[in-house]
Amino acid sequence: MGGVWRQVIPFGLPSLLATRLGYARLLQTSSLHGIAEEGTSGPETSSSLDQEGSDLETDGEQQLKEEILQASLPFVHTHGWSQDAIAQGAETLGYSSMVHGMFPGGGVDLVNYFYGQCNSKLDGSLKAAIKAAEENQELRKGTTTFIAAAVEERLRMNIEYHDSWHWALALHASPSNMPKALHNIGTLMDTIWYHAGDRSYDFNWYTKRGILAAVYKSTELCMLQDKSEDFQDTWAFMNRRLSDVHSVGKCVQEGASFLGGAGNLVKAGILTALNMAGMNSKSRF
Amino acid sequence: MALLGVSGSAMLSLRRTRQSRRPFGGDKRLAGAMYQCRPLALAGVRLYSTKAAHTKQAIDRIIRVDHAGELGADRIYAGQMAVLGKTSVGPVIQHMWDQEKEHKAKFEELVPKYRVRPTVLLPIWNVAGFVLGAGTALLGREAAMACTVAVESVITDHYNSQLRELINLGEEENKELIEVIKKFRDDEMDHHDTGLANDAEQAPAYTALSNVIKTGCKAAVWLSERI
Repeated sequence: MGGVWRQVIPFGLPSLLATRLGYARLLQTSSLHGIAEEGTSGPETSSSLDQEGSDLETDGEQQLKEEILQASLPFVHTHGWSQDAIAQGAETLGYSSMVHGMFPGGGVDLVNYFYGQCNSKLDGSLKAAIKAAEENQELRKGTTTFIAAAVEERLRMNIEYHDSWHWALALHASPSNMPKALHNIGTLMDTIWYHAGDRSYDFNWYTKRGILAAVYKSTELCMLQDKSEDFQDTWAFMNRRLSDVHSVGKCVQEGASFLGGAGNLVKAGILTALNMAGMNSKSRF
Repeated sequence: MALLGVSGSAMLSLRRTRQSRRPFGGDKRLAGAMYQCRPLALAGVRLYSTKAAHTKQAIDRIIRVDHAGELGADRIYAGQMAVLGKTSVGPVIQHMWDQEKEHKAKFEELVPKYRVRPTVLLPIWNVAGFVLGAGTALLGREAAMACTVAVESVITDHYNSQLRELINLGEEENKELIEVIKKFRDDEMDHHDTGLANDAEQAPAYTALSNVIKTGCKAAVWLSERI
């Protein structure tokens, strides 16, 4: 399919333009409402071609993109995380395969969509687990157990695309896709920690999420080449990493209390010396 | 479809002008983006594309920078009290400090509530605030008051523009945040007036000191909103 169409595309560019920018807006029912919405958010303009401020998507456009990407997911097994899969998906919905022009990033848009969907699913599932634990005290888990279960659940969502997941990770590693990839993993870490009970507002927010991100990433990479039954090796790896974190945390805590004790000792020494020199009296002057 | 594809102005006129015969009606930016397969408006990285997501980002920034600001103010007053705590102006500073502590506590509650990411620069503002407070207090009580006046005037303007932004985004949905910021803005204006009443303008090099502190505050606000 590629050869002939690649020659035809330059002649069809005006129609591609219409597809990219106008088609979606033609499709949505409340197009006037959409344009009015965009107008309030940036410099007033009738078209979103030029102005950065008003280039917000309308909800209708966003929904269309999500529908197409959702329909493209089944084609990942055969076409991988690529624009071909998106084109195939669009065709099943009845749109022209030219609609893949709406996704200039190509395959990475599909990866990001899938990642976001999994994150939302995890969010819902963790909320339900918390609620169930509130009602039934026996279901309550400790923080580390909760986090381990959450990471396992999230990684299990990737099993479906296990064969092509290395492709997805490679796309994420590319510099132009890195910001969105970091945003995805950041959201995921925030979700897990928030439901595990973290309500911190200071620098701990970063240390906790950073540590968990390192554990998650290493476990994800381990899972790529895991051939054991039901990925048992991966879960064992994850548990070892989490217990490492635990022991490092305890070590830091003990170190801090040791330093505190040592500091007290030093202060006591200085006070004694001042007393001996007769310099510690407030009524000296 | 193909005829409709070029820019709006070409659509309306039947004459094929030189401009309209060029690809994309001569719009180089559009052409460049199209051929390079890159979204048009991507000067920075725009992670949020719908209006709801844009609102979330705006509220995120507001709470992040306000939390950083209140932490900074708390540390500035701590620095001032460390130097001037036992002088006659001590109780005045203590009263303002207590109000800032309340503000900080409120934002510490709002940060996890709105799932906001606190700023990375918190440890820096922690130290910088104390140094600013203690530094200006060492120049004398008038200088300490001048520092208060400068900081509070920047903060008041900043809160006012946040209120405008929130009301623009939706007065009903953001009612809680609007009420909180309104009250805090009134407190900060109070502090500003207290500072002026306590001879802030008698400080040495008042204008220069005030401008330096104001610029520093504005830079801190800009950074905390983003990082």
